[in-house]
Amino acid sequence: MRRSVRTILLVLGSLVVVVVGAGVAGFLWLRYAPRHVPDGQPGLARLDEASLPRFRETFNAGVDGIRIVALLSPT
Amino acid sequence: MCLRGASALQRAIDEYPSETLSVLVVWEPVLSTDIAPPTTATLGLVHDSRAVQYWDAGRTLSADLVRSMIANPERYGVEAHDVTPDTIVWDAVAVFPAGARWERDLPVPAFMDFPVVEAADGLRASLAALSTP
Repeated sequence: MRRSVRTILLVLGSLVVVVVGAGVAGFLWLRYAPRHVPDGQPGLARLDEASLPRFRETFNAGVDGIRIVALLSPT
Repeated sequence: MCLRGASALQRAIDEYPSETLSVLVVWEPVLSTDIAPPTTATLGLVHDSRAVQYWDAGRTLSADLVRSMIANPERYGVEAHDVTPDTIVWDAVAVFPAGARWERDLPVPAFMDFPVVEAADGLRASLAALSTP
């Protein structure tokens, strides 16, 4: 009886370690993974209040053609 | 859902080879897992060379679009009560015709829908309609 309780605790402890480890690994991956755009595209640009006018300029620079704007979340 | 939307967007623009097409992809944090900019793999979902990709950590563009829509809901064909200052525009795609210029407010899109993965057919139809002389 005492042995089986110990076994259950060991299994539960291992599961906790695995789950926490996977969570930490996932967090580290999301936080520090490489972030490169595909070849042929300009680098990933930051968009904020200061750069919004530049974003508009980029939009307007394509005035001779169709523009698509997509807003997406990364996960 | 958004990652499938990015793939659907790429497939749609694959069918539209015009060099004058511009694609602005704005990634923004919405979900609790959106703790950093998109990874290389995510950015690679839209691999078209006509695309420019952005990381909008403060959801600046969404807020600007919401501001425009609240200021003039009729112009954008939205109900005033459907858009509040807390509204987040995400997993959405809009198409703008040639000639549309963005001055103070966003021009009226020829097509806008969400989620992107379900908007792909409408996106294709819009591209086809706008590219017909």
